[in-house]
Amino acid sequence: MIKQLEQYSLFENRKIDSYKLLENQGYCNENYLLHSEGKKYILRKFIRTDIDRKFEFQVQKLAFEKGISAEPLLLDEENNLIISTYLEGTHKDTLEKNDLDQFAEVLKKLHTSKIECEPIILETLIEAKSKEVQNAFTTIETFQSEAVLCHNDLNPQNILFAKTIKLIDWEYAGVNDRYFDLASVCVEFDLNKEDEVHFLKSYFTMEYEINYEKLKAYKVIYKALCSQWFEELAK
Amino acid sequence: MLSVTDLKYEYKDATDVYEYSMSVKPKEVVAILGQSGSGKSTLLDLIAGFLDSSSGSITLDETDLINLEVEKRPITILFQSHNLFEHLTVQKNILLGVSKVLKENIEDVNKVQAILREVGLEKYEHTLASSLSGGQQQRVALARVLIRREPILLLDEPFTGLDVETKIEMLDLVKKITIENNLHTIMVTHDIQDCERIANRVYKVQNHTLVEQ
Repeated sequence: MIKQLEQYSLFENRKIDSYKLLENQGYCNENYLLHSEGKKYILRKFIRTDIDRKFEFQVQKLAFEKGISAEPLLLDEENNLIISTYLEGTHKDTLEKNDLDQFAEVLKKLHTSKIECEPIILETLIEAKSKEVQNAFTTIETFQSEAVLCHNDLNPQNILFAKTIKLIDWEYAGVNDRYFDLASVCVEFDLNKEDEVHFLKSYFTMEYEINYEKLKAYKVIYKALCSQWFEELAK
Repeated sequence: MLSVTDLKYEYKDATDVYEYSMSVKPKEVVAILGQSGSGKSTLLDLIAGFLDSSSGSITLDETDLINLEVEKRPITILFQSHNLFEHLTVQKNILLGVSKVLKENIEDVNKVQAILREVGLEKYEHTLASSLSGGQQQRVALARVLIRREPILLLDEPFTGLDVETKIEMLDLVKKITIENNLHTIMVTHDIQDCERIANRVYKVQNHTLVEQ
């Protein structure tokens, strides 16, 4: 594998010192850490091949330019891999108020990025809809859509805390309502009402933009998507 | 007059209960003083409608605000983080105060110009927010709040992190704007000097209760 990697212009005239499978693995890729002449890289070999990797690469590049992601360096669709710079950092299960402030800033940067892409239709992604989920979809239809570029997979394993917060694993990124990302943070980090208020006040510009009904509905939808996803994984 | 009467909030599964009673007259700046985590911001969140009280009332003159949704309350808030969009001009940032879709019309643009004069930034209408100093950015945030012309202005430690001179300038501007626009202004702060400079009256959060000083 090392010989194959050294063929890329990225490693031209450079030696790859090591190549090892990382302990923390995702479900869409196998992740490897590469060392090359003092620099670290992450190589993600695709497990899932039904994802538009060109788009993922483009989004990650955009996010890198905004300072909220690792730099994507190489996409080889033929060999099913992406190489990015490796980021040091830790994951957190709970967020303090200053984490929420920083996180709000990261999401604002992402959500104001411009990209051409059809919006995701969430309703088609959930197969069996409970009454609660149906009501949630009815609720969001009553509000104006706020479609922006979203990460769409903001679970704690995809958020790295170092000097600043960086997001990783952009497979599911796409145009969606910004409340989807906001709701997923509230669910994943189990925010109480006071912390939700703090987070939304950090994120939004004006108080009239804060819509709890919409947040509540997206939380229901996000939870339903997670349940469905875990059920599929168990099968 | 804005009146908060026997307003109770049960924090985190009712382990702590906060109680608030206070009033603010038009043209008045009332300061809420207290340490970090004492429940100062919770009062603003209750008045704004972000949190639900368990009992009590909030009225503006004869109007009950408790049952109004957030967007229908006659309130604007200057958030701790000014949340300006750095890639947008001053004019567009202020227009976001009235519409999140940024549809400009002559009337709104005229309003922006009038407000920029009020906050002393008339020369910067078409400047990018990123090119402004910290103090100027705070003025833009204040202008964005003012364009809504709501009678209640809530300030949640808005000038933290500014240098002393700029902070004094901003506090004086808040006072001037409150008087000129007949506002009912509540300012949450942990700094007694902020209170001394502009507050008509000061309340302190002590043991989860508001006490007038």
